Amino acid sequence: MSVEYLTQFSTNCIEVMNKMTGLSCEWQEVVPCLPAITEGMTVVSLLGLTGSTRGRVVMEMDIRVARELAEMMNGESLKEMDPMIFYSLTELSNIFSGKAITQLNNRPERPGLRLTPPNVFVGEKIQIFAEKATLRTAQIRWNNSFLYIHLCIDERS
Amino acid sequence: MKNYLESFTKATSNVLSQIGAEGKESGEYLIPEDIFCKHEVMVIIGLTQALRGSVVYSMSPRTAINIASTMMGGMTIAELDEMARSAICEFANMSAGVCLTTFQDLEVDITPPTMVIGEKMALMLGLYDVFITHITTPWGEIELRLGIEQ
Repeated sequence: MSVEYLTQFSTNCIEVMNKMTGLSCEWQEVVPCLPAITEGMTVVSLLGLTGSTRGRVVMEMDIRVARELAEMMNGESLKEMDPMIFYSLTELSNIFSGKAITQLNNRPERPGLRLTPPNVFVGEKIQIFAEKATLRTAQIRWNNSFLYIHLCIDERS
Repeated sequence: MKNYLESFTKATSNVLSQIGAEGKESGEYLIPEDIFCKHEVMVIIGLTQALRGSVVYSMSPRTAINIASTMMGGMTIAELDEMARSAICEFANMSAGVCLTTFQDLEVDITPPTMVIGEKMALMLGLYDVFITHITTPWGEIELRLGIEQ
């Protein structure tokens, strides 16, 4: 089931990024690792999932990619650590996750998923700990840049 | 929204007293001046249904280790290992769970806790107003941030 969920989140992320920035991206599932970026300044957008499946969706990238995406979304150059970078990523993660959740909720099994608003973390040497969760990771790649989408499903749900 | 944060703070103090520690609430519910965090350990719990948002418990590694140690019956913990992280997540889960029981007319669901540890951390809780308060414990301060979609 978590493969289908990861596919839904990844394909929607690509679609939304294409509409918002014009980028053509590809995705592939990679060895699960959270966080995947362990050096430098990392930007993480975290959304919680409740309903029949509980867990979290984590979008992760380094600060260079975050700035690049935000500049493309806004059509202007932004300073390093400009709050607009984080507002943009909040919006991006909210849109693609909301879209994915709607599509999953429209399936015959009706999982009744609900999403929390995104929380954006920025920092160095970030570690993320999710207890008793199954992790799957997708890498979204375009040109020489990439970001990761991690899906952590609570094993008790 | 301050009253919700007050409920979360009281519930956290209750859980602290249940594990045998005293938590002194600051009683101040302020809008944070910036997005930067002074603590390195954060546990985030999402809220859905009648309240949509997040509550974040943040503390120093030393405070986290001491809370985990107390929860595990005084066991010596040298570092924030997997067991200690699990204990701190459980502490936050209990605090949020106790708080939800006080919302009699509101149906609110919480997500499982997620711990984020890092250096030079900044945190943005969605695109809405955030309030912040503190609880002083014998081992240091616990900071509570609440962001709820209005």
